[in-house]
Amino acid sequence: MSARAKFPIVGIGASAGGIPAMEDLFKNLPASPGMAFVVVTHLSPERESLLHEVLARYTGMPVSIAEDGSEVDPDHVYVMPQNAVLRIESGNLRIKHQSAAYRERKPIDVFLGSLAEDQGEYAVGIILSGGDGDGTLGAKLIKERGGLVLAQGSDGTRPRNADMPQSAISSGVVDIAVPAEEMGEKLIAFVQGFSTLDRLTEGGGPSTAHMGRAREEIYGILKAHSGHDFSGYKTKTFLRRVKRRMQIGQITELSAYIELLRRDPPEVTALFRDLLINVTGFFRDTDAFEFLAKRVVPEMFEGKTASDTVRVWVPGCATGEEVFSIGMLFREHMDGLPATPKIQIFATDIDEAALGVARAARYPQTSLDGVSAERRQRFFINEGESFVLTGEVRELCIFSPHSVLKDPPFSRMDLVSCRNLLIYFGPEIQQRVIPIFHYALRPGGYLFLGTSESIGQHGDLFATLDKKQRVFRAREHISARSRLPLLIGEGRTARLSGDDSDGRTRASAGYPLRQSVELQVLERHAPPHVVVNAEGEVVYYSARTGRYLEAAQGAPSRQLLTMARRGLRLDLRAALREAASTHQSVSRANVAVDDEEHRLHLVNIMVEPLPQRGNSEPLYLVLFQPTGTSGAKPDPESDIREVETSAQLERELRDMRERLQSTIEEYETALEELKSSNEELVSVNEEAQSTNEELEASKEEMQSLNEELNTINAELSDKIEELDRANSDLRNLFESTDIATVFLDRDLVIRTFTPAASEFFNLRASDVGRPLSDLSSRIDYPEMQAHIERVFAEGESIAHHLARDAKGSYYLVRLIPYRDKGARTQGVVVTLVDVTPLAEAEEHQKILISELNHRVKNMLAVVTSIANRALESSSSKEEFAAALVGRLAAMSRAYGALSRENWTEVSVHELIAQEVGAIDTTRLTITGPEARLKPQQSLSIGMVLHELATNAAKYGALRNERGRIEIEWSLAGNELQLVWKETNGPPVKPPEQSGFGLSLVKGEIEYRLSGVVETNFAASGLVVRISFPMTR
Amino acid sequence: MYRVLVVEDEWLIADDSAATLRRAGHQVVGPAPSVKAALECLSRHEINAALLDVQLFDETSFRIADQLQDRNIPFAFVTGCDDSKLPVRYAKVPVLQKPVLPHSLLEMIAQLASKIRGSFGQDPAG
Repeated sequence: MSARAKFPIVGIGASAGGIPAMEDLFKNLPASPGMAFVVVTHLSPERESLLHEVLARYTGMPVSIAEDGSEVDPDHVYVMPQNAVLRIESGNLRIKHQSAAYRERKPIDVFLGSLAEDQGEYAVGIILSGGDGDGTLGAKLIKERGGLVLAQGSDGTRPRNADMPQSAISSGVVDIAVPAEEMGEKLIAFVQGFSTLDRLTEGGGPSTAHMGRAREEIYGILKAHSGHDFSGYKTKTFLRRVKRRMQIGQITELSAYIELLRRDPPEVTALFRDLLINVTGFFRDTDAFEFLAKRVVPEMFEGKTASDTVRVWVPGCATGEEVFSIGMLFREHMDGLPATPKIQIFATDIDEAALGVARAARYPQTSLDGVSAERRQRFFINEGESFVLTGEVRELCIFSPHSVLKDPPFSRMDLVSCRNLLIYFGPEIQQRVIPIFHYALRPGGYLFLGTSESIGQHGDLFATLDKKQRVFRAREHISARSRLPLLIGEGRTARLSGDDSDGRTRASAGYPLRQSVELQVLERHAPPHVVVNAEGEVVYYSARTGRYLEAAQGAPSRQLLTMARRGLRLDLRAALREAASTHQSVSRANVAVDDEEHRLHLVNIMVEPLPQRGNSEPLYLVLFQPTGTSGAKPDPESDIREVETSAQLERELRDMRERLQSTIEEYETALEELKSSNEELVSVNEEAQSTNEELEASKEEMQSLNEELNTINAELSDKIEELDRANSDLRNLFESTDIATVFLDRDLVIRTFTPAASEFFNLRASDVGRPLSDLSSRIDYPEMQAHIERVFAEGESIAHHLARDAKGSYYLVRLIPYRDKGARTQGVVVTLVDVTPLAEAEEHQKILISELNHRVKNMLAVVTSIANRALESSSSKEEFAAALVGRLAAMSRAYGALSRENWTEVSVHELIAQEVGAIDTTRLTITGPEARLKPQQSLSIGMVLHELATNAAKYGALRNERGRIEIEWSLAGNELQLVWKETNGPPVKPPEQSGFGLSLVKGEIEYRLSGVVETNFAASGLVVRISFPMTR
Repeated sequence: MYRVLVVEDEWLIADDSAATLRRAGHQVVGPAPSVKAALECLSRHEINAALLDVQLFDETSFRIADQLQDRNIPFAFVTGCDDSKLPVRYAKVPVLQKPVLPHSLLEMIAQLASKIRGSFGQDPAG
C-alpha cells in the first residue's frame, strides 16, 4: 500500500441510456481531476463490451478494463469487464467471474457497497440513467459511511431512463441531483473541500471553545426546526456530517454555514437527514430487537392457534430492512411452536421506488452487517455478490404504498413498528399520528418506536412497557370507540415546515403574585368558561360550568356540544364555526338555557380564538355570561302589550327550538351511523389492499415460474436438437446400408424400413402401419409369420436360409427381437442379406470336395490296380514291393509336379527331369521345345517315363556302362511327339509277351490319351515313339 | 459267361477290372474310355451287362446309362463320388464305390445276371 495522499474514488453506476450521460460527465471533467473513476454497468454477458474504447473518446484520462488485483490510481478510469462482479479491497479492485448459474443483478449495489466500506468518506457514488433500482442500497451505504452521492437529476438534460437515479433520489440518499454535465464541477469542489475542512475535525483550526459554541448554535437550529435534540450525538460524527454538508455547498467557514442554516430551511432539513442517515438497517438497535424477541414476540404469539393470525404493520418501511428483521424474529420464534398461526406483516411507505427495492429483497453484503452469521446462513441465499432473502421470511411480508397521514390506517394489528418515520414529522403531526396507531392496534397491541421517539401527550392511549426500548401497549379504548380525527377545520400537515418557528418556548415566564391574583379573579369573578380545540373537545374547564354543561349519558365524552345543555347547542355550534373560520370573536346574545327544573336562563355566549402559540393547535375560549333575568331589557314604549306578545313569541320560539333540537339529535344520530359505516369501509379497504399485495406476490411467483419454464424450455430445446441429430444419424445409417431391414413394432406392424428393404419388398412410405402379412407374400418363406411371432414371444433370434430364387441369388433372413432400454422385446427386426457369394462358395466347395473325393478314390483304385498287377507279375515279395513302390513313387512325383503348378500345367522338361534325374547325365540327352501338359497328360507321361526308365535299367541301355538314352520331343500341330531311344545297350530282343510295363505305356498313351505308341526293338536298342494330341 | 461292357477312363483301373472279369470267365467288351467309344461298342457288340464309371474325363456316362436302360440291359455304376448326386431316374441302379475289390466286382456281375435271367427266363450265355 503506497503512502500517498488519499484521493476520492468515484463509482459510476449506469445502465440503459448511460453512455450519453457518461459522455456529458467525462467531457466536463478537467484532465487531472485528482480522483479515480470506476464504471459499473449492466452488461449483457454475451456481447463483448467496447465501453472502454467508447469512454476513451470522451476523456484524456487513461481508460482501461479493470483487472483483478490492480491498484486504483487517481486520474484513471477503470471499466468493469463483462461476465464479472467488481469489488474493491484496500484500494485494489477485485474481480470475481460470474458462474453461468447466477448472474449478479445488482452489480452497482455490490460495488458501491464495497466502495463505501473500503473508502468511507473518500467514496463517491454516482447514479446515472438506468432502468431499475440498482444502486439505491449501495448509495445508502456510501452515505452512511460518510461518502458523497450524486444522481442524474431530471431538470435540464433528463436522463433517458430515470428509474435508477430516481429511486436513489426518492429514498433520500442523494446529496446532489444535477444533470450529468454539471457533476464534474461538483466533484472538483468536493475534492478541494477535503483539505480545507480536515482542520475542522482534527481540531487544529479554530479553538475548541469556538467549536463548542458553533455546535451549540447548530443544535439549537436543529431543535427548533425538528424538535429533535442532537446534543447527545457523538461530537466527531456530528462535525463530520456538518463538514460534509459544507463540502457539498462549497462553504469553507463554519460561521458562513451557520448563517446558511439560519436562512435556508431546506439546508437544515438536509443536515437533519444526514444526521439521521443511520436510521435503517437490519436489527438496528440490537438491544431493542433483543427485547422484542424475548418479551414482545412470545407474548404476541401466546394463545394463538393455527387458525389465528398475527398481524403487524410497519409504516415507513423504506427499503425493507426493518420489516424483514421482524420477519426473521418471527420465524425464529415459530421454530419452537407446535402449531403456528398465520402471519401477516403489512409494510407500507409512500416511496414507491423504495418499495420496489424492498420487494426485491436483494441486498449487497455490506447491508448485512447487522445480521448475525447464523441468521445470514439461515435466511439469506448468497447469489453472486448479493444476498437474497429466503422465501420463508419474504412470504410473510406484504408491501404496498400508503400514506400514514392521508390514507385510512390498517386495523386489528398486534404490533405496529414505526421506527423510521415520526422523526421526520414535526411534533404536531407526531401527536396526530399516535392516535392513528392506537386505532390501528387491537387492545393490548404493541407499539414499537425508534430510540428517540415518544408517544408524547397520549399517555391515555398507551401504557409504557419499556421506556428505554420504546415499546408501548395500547390501552382499551376509553372513549366511545375512539374516532378518527375528522377535522372540523384543517390543521397544518407540512413536515418540518419551519416557517415562522424560531424556537419560542412554550413555558410562560410568569411571576408568582400576578399569578395568584389572576387566579382569584378568574375563579371568583370571571364568567364560567371552557377552552375547546378545533375538534370541539374541551381541553380546559373553569369552575361553575354546571349550569351550562352536563355530563352526557353513556361513556364520558369531552365534546362540548354533547355536554351543552338544551338550548345552547345550536348557538354554540354556530358560534364555534364562525369563530373557527373567521378567527374573530363571535358572540350570541340571549340564548335561552334550560336547567333541570326547566327554568329558563338567558346567557350570552362568546367564542374567542386564543392567540396562536407556536405550532400548537388552535384553541377557542367559550364564555358563558349570564344576562340576569329571563326577561328582555324593559322597553318603555310598548311595555305591557309586548310582554304578552313576546311571551307568546317566546313560547313559539321554544317550541321551534325543541323541534330543531330533536332534528339536530336525529341528524347527529345519522352522522354517528355514517361514521361507523365509514370505519367499516376503511377496514374493507385495507383488506382489499392486502389482497392486492397478495396478487403482487402471485405475480412475482408467476414471473419466477416463467423463468423456470424458460430454463426448462431451453433444456428441452437442447434435447430436441440432440434427438434431431440422432435421428439424422439413424437416417443416414439406414440409407447407407445395403441390407434390407424392416422394423416391426409390438403389433408386428411395419414401423420403418431401410431403402434397401423398400427396393426388395417394394415398400413405400404408405406401407408404414400395415401388417406384416403384406410382406411375406413376396418372398418364399411361408413360415415367416410363425417365426416372427415366436421370436417376439421367446426373445430369441431365428436365421433362415432362403432357397435360390429366380435370379439365382441366395438370401439369409434373420429375425431379431427389438429390445428397448429395459431389454424388453418391443418388436421384431427382419433383415435380408444377400448371401449369394457365400452360397455359391459353399456350393463350389461341395463340388471341390466331391471332386477331391472322386480323385482320391480314383487314385486308390489305380493304386489297387497297380498292386494287383504287380502281384501278378512278381514271384517274390521283394519283387512285388519293388514293382509297387516304384510305380507309386512315380505317380507321386507326377502329382507333386502338378501340385507345384497348382494343378494347371506341367512342363515336359520337368517331368522328364524328375523321372530320369537319378541317371548319370553323361548318359542322357534330353532335347525338346518348351511344352506344357495338362494334368491328366502329365500323370500319364510321368508314369510312362517311369516304366521306360525302369525297363532301361532292368533290361536296356542302363544295364551296362556304355549304354545311352536319347529323349527327344517335338510339337507338330496339335500333337506332341516324343522319342525314347536307347543305344549301346546290351543286345535286345523283343519279349514274347508284353510285360506289364509296356502294356502300361500303351494303355496310358493310347487308351487314356488317345495317342499312338510304336515300340521298335532294334538291335542297337529299344526305340519307343509316342505321340498324342495336346487337346482333345 | 457274360459279355460285360466296361466303361472307365483310367487305363490302370479299366485294365485291372477287365483282367478280373476275364479271369472269372466273362467276356469283356471294351474297355471304353469315353461315351463315344462306349456307344460304338454298344452298337457293334451284344452286351449282357455293363459297368459304368460315372465320371469320365470331361463327361458323365449318363448317356450310355440311358441307352442301356432303353435296351433293358442291366448295369451298375462305379464311382468315387457320393452316389446321392445321381439323377433320379437312376435310383434303382446299383452303385459300386471305388476302389472296387475283385470279389465285389464279380458279385455285382452275378447280381446283374439274375436280372437278365429274370427278364428273359433263360441264360443267354448258353
